[in-house]
Amino acid sequence: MKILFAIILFAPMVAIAQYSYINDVFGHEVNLDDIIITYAGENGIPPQMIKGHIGKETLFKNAYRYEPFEDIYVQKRPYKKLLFMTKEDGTLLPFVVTEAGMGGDFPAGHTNVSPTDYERTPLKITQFLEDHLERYVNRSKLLVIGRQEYTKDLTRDLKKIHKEVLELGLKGKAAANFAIEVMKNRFHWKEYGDNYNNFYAQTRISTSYGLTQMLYATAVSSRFKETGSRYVPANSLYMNRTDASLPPEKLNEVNYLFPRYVDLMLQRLRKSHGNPATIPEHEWSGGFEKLWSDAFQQHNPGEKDYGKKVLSLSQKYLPH
Amino acid sequence: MRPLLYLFLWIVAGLLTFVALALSQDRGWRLYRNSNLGIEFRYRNLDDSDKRKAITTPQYNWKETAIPRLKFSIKLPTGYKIKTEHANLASYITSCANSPIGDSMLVVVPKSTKRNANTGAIVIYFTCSSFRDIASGEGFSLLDSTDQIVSTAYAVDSANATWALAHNSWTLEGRSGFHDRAAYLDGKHWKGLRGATTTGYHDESGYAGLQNFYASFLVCNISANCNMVCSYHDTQMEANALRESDFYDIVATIQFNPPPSR
Repeated sequence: MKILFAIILFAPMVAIAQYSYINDVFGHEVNLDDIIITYAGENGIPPQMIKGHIGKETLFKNAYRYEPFEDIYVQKRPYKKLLFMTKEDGTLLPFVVTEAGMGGDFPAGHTNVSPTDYERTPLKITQFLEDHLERYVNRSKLLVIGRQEYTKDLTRDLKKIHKEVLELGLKGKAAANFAIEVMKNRFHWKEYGDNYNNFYAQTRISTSYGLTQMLYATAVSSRFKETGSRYVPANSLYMNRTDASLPPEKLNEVNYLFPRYVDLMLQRLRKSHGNPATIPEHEWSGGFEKLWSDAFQQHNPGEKDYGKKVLSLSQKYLPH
Repeated sequence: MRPLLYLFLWIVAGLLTFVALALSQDRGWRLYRNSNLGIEFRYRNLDDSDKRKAITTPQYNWKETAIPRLKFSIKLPTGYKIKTEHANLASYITSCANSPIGDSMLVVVPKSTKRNANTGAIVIYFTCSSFRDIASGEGFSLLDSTDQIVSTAYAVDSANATWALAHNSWTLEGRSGFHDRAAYLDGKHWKGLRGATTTGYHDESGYAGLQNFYASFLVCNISANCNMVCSYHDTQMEANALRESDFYDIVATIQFNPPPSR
Protein backbone atom coordinates (compact mmCIF):
# COMPACT_ATOMS: atom_id res chain seq x y z
CA MET A 1 0.00 0.00 0.00
CA LYS A 2 2.83 2.36 0.93
CA ILE A 3 4.55 1.61 -2.35
CA LEU A 4 1.35 2.33 -4.30
CA PHE A 5 0.92 5.62 -2.43
CA ALA A 6 4.52 6.59 -3.21
CA ILE A 7 4.02 5.86 -6.91
CA ILE A 8 0.82 7.94 -7.08
CA LEU A 9 2.49 10.82 -5.22
CA PHE A 10 5.83 10.96 -6.99
CA ALA A 11 5.14 9.71 -10.54
CA PRO A 12 3.87 13.11 -11.80
CA MET A 13 6.94 14.86 -10.36
CA VAL A 14 9.26 12.47 -12.16
CA ALA A 15 7.36 13.08 -15.40
CA ILE A 16 7.64 16.86 -15.01
CA ALA A 17 11.30 16.78 -14.12
CA GLN A 18 12.47 14.49 -16.88
CA TYR A 19 14.95 15.89 -19.36
CA SER A 20 15.38 19.11 -17.39
CA TYR A 21 19.10 18.53 -17.73
CA ILE A 22 20.63 16.96 -20.83
CA ASN A 23 24.13 16.52 -22.18
CA ASP A 24 24.65 18.92 -25.05
CA VAL A 25 26.55 18.15 -28.26
CA PHE A 26 29.82 19.01 -26.49
CA GLY A 27 29.06 16.44 -23.80
CA HIS A 28 28.46 19.10 -21.13
CA GLU A 29 25.46 18.91 -18.86
CA VAL A 30 23.15 21.88 -19.51
CA ASN A 31 19.91 23.02 -17.93
CA LEU A 32 17.62 22.58 -20.91
CA ASP A 33 14.61 23.97 -19.03
CA ASP A 34 16.45 27.26 -18.40
CA ILE A 35 17.44 27.56 -22.06
CA ILE A 36 13.93 26.78 -23.29
CA ILE A 37 12.32 29.19 -20.83
CA THR A 38 14.65 31.98 -22.00
CA TYR A 39 13.83 31.55 -25.71
CA ALA A 40 10.16 30.84 -25.02
CA GLY A 41 9.85 33.95 -22.84
CA GLU A 42 11.55 36.20 -25.39
CA ASN A 43 9.21 35.06 -28.12
CA GLY A 44 5.90 34.33 -26.40
CA ILE A 45 5.97 30.60 -27.02
CA PRO A 46 4.73 28.28 -24.24
CA PRO A 47 7.92 26.51 -23.05
CA GLN A 48 6.22 23.15 -22.59
CA MET A 49 5.33 23.17 -26.30
CA ILE A 50 8.98 23.55 -27.31
CA LYS A 51 9.84 20.71 -24.97
CA GLY A 52 7.01 18.57 -26.31
CA HIS A 53 8.27 19.21 -29.84
CA ILE A 54 11.79 18.14 -28.90
CA GLY A 55 10.36 15.02 -27.26
CA LYS A 56 8.48 14.19 -30.44
CA GLU A 57 11.44 14.79 -32.76
CA THR A 58 14.49 13.42 -30.97
CA LEU A 59 13.75 12.32 -27.41
CA PHE A 60 16.25 15.01 -26.36
CA LYS A 61 19.20 13.64 -28.34
CA ASN A 62 21.68 15.71 -30.36
CA ALA A 63 20.69 13.86 -33.47
CA TYR A 64 21.74 14.12 -37.05
CA ARG A 65 20.11 12.20 -39.85
CA TYR A 66 21.32 12.00 -43.43
CA GLU A 67 18.67 11.33 -46.09
CA PRO A 68 20.25 9.27 -48.92
CA PHE A 69 17.15 9.09 -51.13
CA GLU A 70 16.46 12.81 -50.83
CA ASP A 71 20.14 13.31 -51.64
CA ILE A 72 19.79 11.43 -54.93
CA TYR A 73 16.71 13.52 -55.73
CA VAL A 74 18.66 16.76 -55.17
CA GLN A 75 21.79 15.66 -57.01
CA LYS A 76 19.80 14.67 -60.09
CA ARG A 77 18.11 18.09 -60.35
CA PRO A 78 20.14 21.13 -61.40
CA TYR A 79 17.64 23.51 -59.72
CA LYS A 80 17.98 21.78 -56.36
CA LYS A 81 21.75 21.55 -56.78
CA LEU A 82 21.85 25.30 -57.31
CA LEU A 83 20.12 25.80 -53.99
CA PHE A 84 22.32 23.57 -51.91
CA MET A 85 25.47 22.43 -53.71
CA THR A 86 26.79 24.89 -56.28
CA LYS A 87 27.19 28.62 -56.80
CA GLU A 88 25.90 30.47 -59.88
CA ASP A 89 29.22 29.89 -61.68
CA GLY A 90 29.07 26.16 -61.05
CA THR A 91 31.75 26.08 -58.37
CA LEU A 92 30.99 23.98 -55.34
CA LEU A 93 29.61 25.43 -52.13
CA PRO A 94 31.34 24.70 -48.83
CA PHE A 95 30.58 21.36 -47.17
CA VAL A 96 29.88 19.53 -50.42
CA VAL A 97 31.46 16.10 -50.12
CA THR A 98 33.76 15.17 -52.98
CA GLU A 99 36.49 12.65 -53.58
CA ALA A 100 38.89 15.27 -52.21
CA GLY A 101 37.24 15.60 -48.83
CA MET A 102 34.33 16.71 -46.68
CA GLY A 103 34.15 20.29 -48.01
CA GLY A 104 35.36 22.02 -44.87
CA ASP A 105 36.08 21.67 -41.19
CA PHE A 106 33.69 20.16 -38.67
CA PRO A 107 32.88 22.19 -35.55
CA ALA A 108 35.31 21.47 -32.74
CA GLY A 109 34.25 19.45 -29.74
CA HIS A 110 31.08 17.78 -31.02
CA THR A 111 31.54 14.55 -29.12
CA ASN A 112 27.96 13.74 -28.13
CA VAL A 113 26.17 13.04 -31.40
CA SER A 114 23.40 10.52 -32.04
CA PRO A 115 23.15 7.84 -33.39
CA THR A 116 26.89 7.77 -34.26
CA ASP A 117 29.59 10.34 -34.92
CA TYR A 118 29.35 12.39 -38.14
CA GLU A 119 30.63 10.75 -41.32
CA ARG A 120 34.15 12.16 -41.63
CA THR A 121 35.36 10.50 -44.83
CA PRO A 122 33.87 10.79 -48.33
CA LEU A 123 31.58 7.89 -49.21
CA LYS A 124 29.55 7.09 -52.28
CA ILE A 125 25.87 6.60 -51.48
CA THR A 126 26.21 2.88 -52.10
CA GLN A 127 29.00 2.70 -49.50
CA PHE A 128 26.90 4.61 -46.98
CA LEU A 129 23.95 2.26 -47.44
CA GLU A 130 26.24 -0.73 -47.20
CA ASP A 131 27.06 0.51 -43.70
CA HIS A 132 23.73 1.97 -42.57
CA LEU A 133 20.79 0.66 -44.62
CA GLU A 134 19.07 -0.54 -41.42
CA ARG A 135 18.42 3.11 -40.45
CA TYR A 136 16.07 3.44 -43.41
CA VAL A 137 14.09 0.24 -43.03
CA ASN A 138 10.87 -0.21 -41.13
CA ARG A 139 11.25 -3.79 -39.98
CA SER A 140 7.62 -4.49 -39.10
CA LYS A 141 6.36 -3.42 -42.53
CA LEU A 142 9.56 -4.36 -44.38
CA LEU A 143 9.58 -0.98 -46.10
CA VAL A 144 12.61 1.02 -47.18
CA ILE A 145 11.65 4.56 -46.17
CA GLY A 146 12.31 7.45 -48.52
CA ARG A 147 11.31 8.80 -51.92
CA GLN A 148 9.49 5.91 -53.51
CA GLU A 149 10.94 6.51 -56.94
CA TYR A 150 14.21 5.27 -55.44
CA THR A 151 13.01 3.00 -52.62
CA LYS A 152 10.29 1.05 -54.41
CA ASP A 153 12.75 -1.38 -56.01
CA LEU A 154 14.65 -1.75 -52.74
CA THR A 155 11.44 -2.56 -50.84
CA ARG A 156 10.50 -5.11 -53.50
CA ASP A 157 13.90 -6.80 -53.22
CA LEU A 158 13.86 -6.70 -49.42
CA LYS A 159 10.49 -8.45 -49.30
CA LYS A 160 11.65 -11.05 -51.80
CA ILE A 161 14.79 -11.78 -49.81
CA HIS A 162 12.80 -11.84 -46.56
CA LYS A 163 10.48 -14.47 -48.04
CA GLU A 164 13.47 -16.62 -48.95
CA VAL A 165 14.94 -16.15 -45.48
CA LEU A 166 11.68 -17.30 -43.88
CA GLU A 167 11.83 -20.44 -46.00
CA LEU A 168 15.28 -21.08 -44.53
CA GLY A 169 13.70 -21.18 -41.07
CA LEU A 170 14.60 -17.79 -39.61
CA LYS A 171 11.73 -15.90 -37.97
CA GLY A 172 10.70 -12.46 -36.72
CA LYS A 173 13.36 -9.82 -36.12
CA ALA A 174 16.18 -12.22 -37.01
CA ALA A 175 14.68 -12.82 -40.45
CA ALA A 176 14.27 -9.09 -41.08
CA ASN A 177 17.82 -8.37 -39.92
CA PHE A 178 19.23 -11.13 -42.11
CA ALA A 179 17.36 -9.79 -45.14
CA ILE A 180 18.74 -6.30 -44.45
CA GLU A 181 22.28 -7.72 -44.25
CA VAL A 182 21.79 -9.40 -47.65
CA MET A 183 20.65 -6.06 -49.07
CA LYS A 184 23.71 -4.34 -47.59
CA ASN A 185 25.85 -6.89 -49.36
CA ARG A 186 24.18 -5.93 -52.63
CA PHE A 187 25.18 -2.32 -52.01
CA HIS A 188 28.72 -3.57 -51.35
CA TRP A 189 28.74 -5.17 -54.79
CA LYS A 190 27.23 -2.00 -56.31
CA GLU A 191 24.18 -3.80 -57.65
CA TYR A 192 21.83 -0.80 -57.50
CA GLY A 193 23.11 1.31 -60.36
CA ASP A 194 24.36 4.79 -61.05
CA ASN A 195 22.19 6.68 -58.56
CA TYR A 196 24.04 4.96 -55.75
CA ASN A 197 27.41 4.30 -57.32
CA ASN A 198 28.16 7.68 -58.91
CA PHE A 199 27.03 10.24 -56.33
CA TYR A 200 28.98 11.06 -53.20
CA ALA A 201 26.77 10.93 -50.12
CA GLN A 202 26.17 14.55 -49.10
CA THR A 203 26.14 13.57 -45.46
CA ARG A 204 26.55 17.19 -44.32
CA ILE A 205 24.02 18.89 -46.60
CA SER A 206 21.12 16.45 -47.12
CA THR A 207 20.77 16.12 -43.39
CA SER A 208 18.69 17.28 -40.44
CA TYR A 209 20.26 18.31 -37.17
CA GLY A 210 19.67 19.11 -33.55
CA LEU A 211 17.01 18.68 -30.91
CA THR A 212 14.24 19.72 -33.31
CA GLN A 213 15.76 18.15 -36.43
CA MET A 214 16.04 21.22 -38.61
CA LEU A 215 17.03 20.36 -42.16
CA TYR A 216 20.15 22.14 -43.37
CA ALA A 217 18.14 22.83 -46.54
CA THR A 218 15.60 24.72 -44.42
CA ALA A 219 18.30 26.69 -42.62
CA VAL A 220 19.92 27.93 -45.84
CA SER A 221 16.63 28.86 -47.49
CA SER A 222 14.87 30.63 -44.58
CA ARG A 223 15.21 34.16 -43.26
CA PHE A 224 14.65 35.69 -39.83
CA LYS A 225 11.23 37.29 -40.22
CA GLU A 226 9.55 37.15 -36.82
CA THR A 227 12.26 37.83 -34.26
CA GLY A 228 13.43 41.13 -35.75
CA SER A 229 17.02 41.81 -34.80
CA ARG A 230 16.79 40.06 -31.43
CA TYR A 231 19.46 37.53 -32.36
CA VAL A 232 20.94 38.58 -35.71
CA PRO A 233 20.25 41.44 -38.14
CA ALA A 234 16.62 41.24 -39.30
CA ASN A 235 15.97 39.40 -42.56
CA SER A 236 19.31 37.55 -42.41
CA LEU A 237 19.35 34.00 -43.69
CA TYR A 238 19.28 31.39 -40.93
CA MET A 239 22.54 30.10 -42.39
CA ASN A 240 24.51 31.49 -45.28
CA ARG A 241 25.33 28.58 -47.54
CA THR A 242 28.40 30.34 -48.93
CA ASP A 243 29.98 30.96 -45.51
CA ALA A 244 32.73 28.38 -45.07
CA SER A 245 32.98 29.20 -41.37
CA LEU A 246 29.42 27.95 -40.69
CA PRO A 247 29.35 24.17 -40.92
CA PRO A 248 25.87 22.57 -41.04
CA GLU A 249 26.65 20.71 -37.82
CA LYS A 250 26.36 24.06 -35.94
CA LEU A 251 22.61 23.30 -35.94
CA ASN A 252 23.37 20.67 -33.32
CA GLU A 253 24.43 23.43 -30.88
CA VAL A 254 21.41 24.41 -28.77
CA ASN A 255 22.15 28.13 -28.65
CA TYR A 256 22.72 28.24 -32.40
CA LEU A 257 19.62 26.20 -33.24
CA PHE A 258 17.11 27.88 -30.95
CA PRO A 259 16.98 31.41 -32.46
CA ARG A 260 16.33 29.80 -35.84
CA TYR A 261 13.85 27.31 -34.46
CA VAL A 262 11.73 29.89 -32.59
CA ASP A 263 11.70 32.21 -35.61
CA LEU A 264 10.52 29.36 -37.85
CA MET A 265 7.81 28.36 -35.36
CA LEU A 266 6.56 31.95 -35.20
CA GLN A 267 6.44 32.06 -39.01
CA ARG A 268 4.27 28.97 -38.89
CA LEU A 269 2.08 30.43 -36.16
CA ARG A 270 1.52 33.53 -38.27
CA LYS A 271 0.56 31.32 -41.19
CA SER A 272 -1.93 29.42 -39.07
CA HIS A 273 -3.51 32.81 -38.30
CA GLY A 274 -3.98 33.29 -42.06
CA ASN A 275 -0.78 35.27 -42.67
CA PRO A 276 -1.66 38.68 -41.15
CA ALA A 277 1.11 41.31 -41.12
CA THR A 278 1.86 40.41 -37.50
CA ILE A 279 0.69 37.74 -35.09
CA PRO A 280 -2.35 39.18 -33.24
CA GLU A 281 -1.67 39.94 -29.59
CA HIS A 282 -5.24 39.14 -28.48
CA GLU A 283 -8.36 37.32 -29.62
CA TRP A 284 -6.93 34.45 -31.55
CA SER A 285 -9.87 33.26 -33.62
CA GLY A 286 -9.87 29.50 -33.69
CA GLY A 287 -8.45 29.17 -30.19
CA PHE A 288 -4.99 29.18 -28.68
CA GLU A 289 -4.37 25.41 -28.78
CA LYS A 290 -5.84 24.97 -32.25
CA LEU A 291 -3.60 27.64 -33.74
CA TRP A 292 -0.49 26.22 -32.10
CA SER A 293 -1.48 22.73 -33.19
CA ASP A 294 -1.79 24.01 -36.77
CA ALA A 295 1.62 25.68 -36.45
CA PHE A 296 3.32 22.45 -35.34
CA GLN A 297 1.43 20.50 -38.01
CA GLN A 298 3.22 22.61 -40.63
CA HIS A 299 6.53 21.17 -39.41
CA ASN A 300 5.46 17.77 -40.70
CA PRO A 301 2.36 18.19 -42.86
CA GLY A 302 1.86 14.60 -43.99
CA GLU A 303 1.67 13.01 -40.56
CA LYS A 304 -1.90 12.87 -39.31
CA ASP A 305 -2.38 14.84 -36.09
CA TYR A 306 1.33 15.66 -35.78
CA GLY A 307 0.47 19.04 -34.22
CA LYS A 308 -1.98 17.50 -31.77
CA LYS A 309 0.61 14.89 -30.77
CA VAL A 310 3.15 17.62 -30.01
CA LEU A 311 0.63 19.47 -27.84
CA SER A 312 -0.35 16.26 -26.11
CA LEU A 313 3.32 15.50 -25.35
CA SER A 314 3.81 19.04 -24.06
CA GLN A 315 1.39 18.30 -21.22
CA LYS A 316 4.15 16.13 -19.74
CA TYR A 317 6.39 19.17 -19.45
CA LEU A 318 4.18 21.81 -17.88
CA PRO A 319 6.26 24.25 -15.79
CA HIS A 320 6.03 23.60 -12.09
CA MET B 1 15.19 1.93 -105.12
CA ARG B 2 12.40 4.16 -103.81
CA PRO B 3 10.68 1.37 -101.75
CA LEU B 4 14.00 0.69 -100.08
CA LEU B 5 14.36 4.37 -99.22
CA TYR B 6 10.84 4.38 -97.73
CA LEU B 7 11.64 1.27 -95.74
CA PHE B 8 14.82 2.87 -94.46
CA LEU B 9 12.93 6.03 -93.45
CA TRP B 10 10.28 3.95 -91.65
CA ILE B 11 12.99 2.08 -89.73
CA VAL B 12 14.69 5.36 -88.77
CA ALA B 13 11.37 6.90 -87.67
CA GLY B 14 10.57 3.75 -85.65
CA LEU B 15 13.97 3.83 -83.98
CA LEU B 16 13.62 7.53 -83.13
CA THR B 17 10.17 6.89 -81.62
CA PHE B 18 11.56 3.99 -79.62
CA VAL B 19 14.46 6.09 -78.31
CA ALA B 20 12.10 8.97 -77.43
CA LEU B 21 9.78 6.61 -75.58
CA ALA B 22 12.67 4.96 -73.77
CA LEU B 23 14.03 8.34 -72.71
CA SER B 24 10.65 9.50 -71.44
CA GLN B 25 10.31 6.25 -69.45
CA ASP B 26 13.76 6.84 -68.01
CA ARG B 27 12.75 10.23 -66.79
CA GLY B 28 9.85 8.57 -65.03
CA TRP B 29 7.09 10.85 -66.32
CA ARG B 30 3.60 9.49 -66.91
CA LEU B 31 0.33 11.06 -67.97
CA TYR B 32 -2.77 10.64 -65.82
CA ARG B 33 -6.13 11.43 -67.42
CA ASN B 34 -9.63 11.26 -65.94
CA SER B 35 -12.13 12.06 -68.67
CA ASN B 36 -15.12 12.14 -66.29
CA LEU B 37 -13.58 14.97 -64.31
CA GLY B 38 -11.83 16.46 -67.31
CA ILE B 39 -8.48 16.57 -65.58
CA GLU B 40 -5.07 15.42 -66.71
CA PHE B 41 -1.59 15.90 -65.38
CA ARG B 42 1.91 14.61 -65.80
CA TYR B 43 3.43 13.03 -62.74
CA ARG B 44 6.48 11.27 -61.44
CA ASN B 45 4.98 10.06 -58.18
CA LEU B 46 1.45 8.79 -58.03
CA ASP B 47 0.35 6.68 -55.13
CA ASP B 48 -0.24 3.65 -57.33
CA SER B 49 0.95 0.99 -54.92
CA ASP B 50 0.63 -2.24 -56.87
CA LYS B 51 -0.41 -4.31 -53.87
CA ARG B 52 -3.83 -2.67 -53.92
CA LYS B 53 -6.33 -3.34 -56.66
CA ALA B 54 -7.78 -0.24 -58.30
CA ILE B 55 -11.43 0.24 -57.40
CA THR B 56 -12.27 0.24 -61.10
CA THR B 57 -11.52 -3.50 -61.28
CA PRO B 58 -14.62 -5.74 -61.66
CA GLN B 59 -14.35 -7.14 -58.12
CA TYR B 60 -15.82 -3.90 -56.77
CA ASN B 61 -19.54 -3.17 -56.91
CA TRP B 62 -20.53 0.45 -56.73
CA LYS B 63 -23.46 1.68 -54.69
CA GLU B 64 -24.99 5.14 -54.79
CA THR B 65 -25.42 6.96 -51.50
CA ALA B 66 -27.65 10.03 -51.42
CA ILE B 67 -27.12 12.73 -48.80
CA PRO B 68 -30.38 14.73 -49.08
CA ARG B 69 -29.50 17.36 -46.47
CA LEU B 70 -26.42 18.32 -48.42
CA LYS B 71 -28.12 17.86 -51.79
CA PHE B 72 -25.65 15.53 -53.40
CA SER B 73 -25.07 11.85 -54.01
CA ILE B 74 -21.88 9.87 -54.36
CA LYS B 75 -21.08 6.35 -55.53
CA LEU B 76 -18.79 4.25 -53.40
CA PRO B 77 -17.16 0.90 -54.14
CA THR B 78 -17.68 -2.19 -51.99
CA GLY B 79 -16.05 -1.88 -48.61
CA TYR B 80 -16.38 1.89 -48.21
CA LYS B 81 -18.82 3.99 -46.24
CA ILE B 82 -19.45 7.61 -45.35
CA LYS B 83 -18.79 8.77 -41.83
CA THR B 84 -20.19 12.14 -40.78
CA GLU B 85 -17.96 14.35 -38.72
CA HIS B 86 -18.34 17.70 -37.10
CA ALA B 87 -16.30 20.48 -38.52
CA ASN B 88 -12.78 20.39 -37.22
CA LEU B 89 -11.18 22.40 -39.90
CA ALA B 90 -8.09 24.50 -39.86
CA SER B 91 -8.71 28.04 -38.71
CA TYR B 92 -8.00 29.45 -42.16
CA ILE B 93 -10.88 27.48 -43.63
CA THR B 94 -14.00 29.57 -43.05
CA SER B 95 -17.22 27.64 -43.16
CA CYS B 96 -19.98 28.83 -45.48
CA ALA B 97 -21.51 31.78 -43.70
CA ASN B 98 -25.15 31.40 -42.66
CA SER B 99 -25.44 28.13 -44.48
CA PRO B 100 -26.84 24.95 -42.93
CA ILE B 101 -24.14 22.96 -44.65
CA GLY B 102 -21.33 25.17 -43.42
CA ASP B 103 -20.39 22.90 -40.55
CA SER B 104 -20.58 19.65 -42.47
CA MET B 105 -17.61 17.42 -42.95
CA LEU B 106 -17.91 13.93 -44.37
CA VAL B 107 -15.20 11.33 -44.47
CA VAL B 108 -15.15 8.38 -46.83
CA VAL B 109 -13.53 5.49 -44.98
CA PRO B 110 -13.09 1.74 -45.38
CA LYS B 111 -15.92 -0.05 -43.54
CA SER B 112 -13.35 -1.74 -41.32
CA THR B 113 -12.26 1.63 -39.90
CA LYS B 114 -12.77 1.77 -36.15
CA ARG B 115 -15.41 4.15 -34.90
CA ASN B 116 -13.07 6.69 -33.37
CA ALA B 117 -10.14 6.24 -35.71
CA ASN B 118 -9.04 9.57 -37.06
CA THR B 119 -8.34 8.39 -40.56
CA GLY B 120 -10.13 9.01 -43.79
CA ALA B 121 -9.56 8.10 -47.35
CA ILE B 122 -11.41 11.16 -48.68
CA VAL B 123 -12.49 14.20 -46.70
CA ILE B 124 -15.38 16.30 -48.05
CA TYR B 125 -16.20 19.70 -46.59
CA PHE B 126 -17.87 22.98 -47.47
CA THR B 127 -16.32 26.40 -47.26
CA CYS B 128 -16.61 29.94 -48.58
CA SER B 129 -12.83 30.38 -48.50
CA SER B 130 -11.00 31.32 -51.67
CA PHE B 131 -9.14 28.73 -53.73
CA ARG B 132 -5.85 30.08 -52.43
CA ASP B 133 -6.95 29.76 -48.79
CA ILE B 134 -8.27 26.26 -49.36
CA ALA B 135 -4.96 25.37 -51.01
CA SER B 136 -3.07 26.78 -48.05
CA GLY B 137 -5.12 24.68 -45.65
CA GLU B 138 -4.37 21.63 -47.76
CA GLY B 139 -0.62 22.26 -47.63
CA PHE B 140 -0.13 23.91 -51.04
CA SER B 141 1.28 27.35 -51.60
CA LEU B 142 1.75 29.62 -54.54
CA LEU B 143 5.30 30.79 -54.98
CA ASP B 144 5.54 34.54 -54.90
CA SER B 145 8.31 37.06 -54.65
CA THR B 146 8.27 36.96 -50.84
CA ASP B 147 8.51 33.19 -50.65
CA GLN B 148 11.61 32.08 -48.84
CA ILE B 149 12.46 29.42 -51.39
CA VAL B 150 12.09 31.83 -54.29
CA SER B 151 14.02 34.52 -52.43
CA THR B 152 16.89 32.12 -52.19
CA ALA B 153 16.33 30.94 -55.73
CA TYR B 154 16.55 34.56 -56.90
CA ALA B 155 19.91 34.79 -55.26
CA VAL B 156 21.24 31.69 -56.95
CA ASP B 157 19.04 30.94 -59.90
CA SER B 158 17.14 33.94 -61.18
CA ALA B 159 16.13 32.16 -64.39
CA ASN B 160 14.35 29.42 -62.51
CA ALA B 161 12.68 31.79 -60.07
CA THR B 162 11.42 33.90 -62.94
CA TRP B 163 9.98 30.77 -64.52
CA ALA B 164 8.22 29.87 -61.30
CA LEU B 165 6.62 33.29 -60.98
CA ALA B 166 5.64 33.46 -64.64
CA HIS B 167 3.86 30.13 -64.39
CA ASN B 168 2.14 30.85 -61.07
CA SER B 169 3.91 27.80 -59.81
CA TRP B 170 2.12 25.93 -57.04
CA THR B 171 4.05 23.79 -54.62
CA LEU B 172 3.18 21.16 -52.06
CA GLU B 173 4.86 21.71 -48.71
CA GLY B 174 6.64 18.81 -47.14
CA ARG B 175 8.61 18.48 -43.96
CA SER B 176 10.29 21.52 -42.53
CA GLY B 177 9.66 23.75 -45.49
CA PHE B 178 10.56 21.30 -48.25
CA HIS B 179 8.60 22.11 -51.39
CA ASP B 180 7.90 20.14 -54.53
CA ARG B 181 6.11 21.48 -57.56
CA ALA B 182 2.39 20.73 -57.67
CA ALA B 183 0.10 20.32 -60.68
CA TYR B 184 -2.91 22.57 -61.17
CA LEU B 185 -6.00 20.54 -62.07
CA ASP B 186 -8.47 22.34 -64.28
CA GLY B 187 -11.47 20.10 -64.88
CA LYS B 188 -15.00 20.49 -66.20
CA HIS B 189 -16.53 21.61 -62.91
CA TRP B 190 -13.68 20.92 -60.53
CA LYS B 191 -10.43 22.76 -59.98
CA GLY B 192 -7.67 21.62 -57.70
CA LEU B 193 -4.07 20.72 -57.08
CA ARG B 194 -2.08 17.56 -56.64
CA GLY B 195 1.47 16.85 -55.67
CA ALA B 196 3.91 14.47 -54.10
CA THR B 197 6.70 15.42 -51.73
CA THR B 198 8.38 14.05 -48.63
CA THR B 199 7.46 14.36 -45.00
CA GLY B 200 8.83 12.96 -41.77
CA TYR B 201 8.13 9.54 -40.41
CA HIS B 202 8.36 8.97 -36.67
CA ASP B 203 8.86 5.83 -34.66
CA GLU B 204 9.20 5.28 -30.93
CA SER B 205 12.60 6.98 -30.87
CA GLY B 206 11.48 10.12 -32.71
CA TYR B 207 12.12 11.34 -36.23
CA ALA B 208 13.05 8.34 -38.36
CA GLY B 209 13.41 9.76 -41.85
CA LEU B 210 11.62 11.12 -44.87
CA GLN B 211 8.80 9.26 -46.55
CA ASN B 212 6.60 9.99 -49.56
CA PHE B 213 3.59 12.21 -48.99
CA TYR B 214 0.80 12.54 -51.56
CA ALA B 215 -1.89 15.21 -51.46
CA SER B 216 -4.65 16.31 -53.76
CA PHE B 217 -7.84 18.29 -53.51
CA LEU B 218 -10.64 19.27 -55.85
CA VAL B 219 -12.98 22.24 -55.40
CA CYS B 220 -16.42 22.64 -56.96
CA ASN B 221 -18.21 25.96 -56.67
CA ILE B 222 -21.78 25.01 -55.72
CA SER B 223 -23.25 28.45 -55.04
CA ALA B 224 -22.27 32.09 -54.86
CA ASN B 225 -20.60 31.73 -51.48
CA CYS B 226 -19.98 28.03 -51.05
CA ASN B 227 -17.46 25.54 -52.36
CA MET B 228 -17.41 21.80 -51.91
CA VAL B 229 -13.89 20.52 -51.31
CA CYS B 230 -12.80 16.89 -51.66
CA SER B 231 -9.33 16.17 -50.32
CA TYR B 232 -6.98 13.23 -50.25
CA HIS B 233 -3.77 12.75 -48.25
CA ASP B 234 -1.61 9.67 -48.00
CA THR B 235 1.88 8.69 -46.95
CA GLN B 236 4.15 5.77 -47.66
CA MET B 237 3.86 4.42 -44.12
CA GLU B 238 0.13 4.92 -43.60
CA ALA B 239 -0.68 3.33 -46.96
CA ASN B 240 -4.21 4.66 -47.13
CA ALA B 241 -6.75 2.16 -48.39
CA LEU B 242 -7.40 4.22 -51.51
CA ARG B 243 -4.98 4.95 -54.32
CA GLU B 244 -4.80 8.51 -55.59
CA SER B 245 -6.43 7.50 -58.87
CA ASP B 246 -9.30 5.96 -56.82
CA PHE B 247 -9.83 9.38 -55.25
CA TYR B 248 -10.46 10.95 -58.65
CA ASP B 249 -12.72 8.06 -59.71
CA ILE B 250 -14.92 8.49 -56.62
CA VAL B 251 -15.10 12.30 -56.85
CA ALA B 252 -16.20 11.91 -60.46
CA THR B 253 -19.38 10.14 -59.25
CA ILE B 254 -20.63 13.12 -57.21
CA GLN B 255 -23.96 14.41 -58.51
CA PHE B 256 -25.62 17.55 -57.19
CA ASN B 257 -29.39 17.69 -56.88
CA PRO B 258 -30.36 20.19 -58.08
CA PRO B 259 -27.27 20.89 -60.19
CA PRO B 260 -25.42 23.99 -59.01
CA SER B 261 -26.11 27.18 -60.93
CA ARG B 262 -22.81 28.15 -62.44
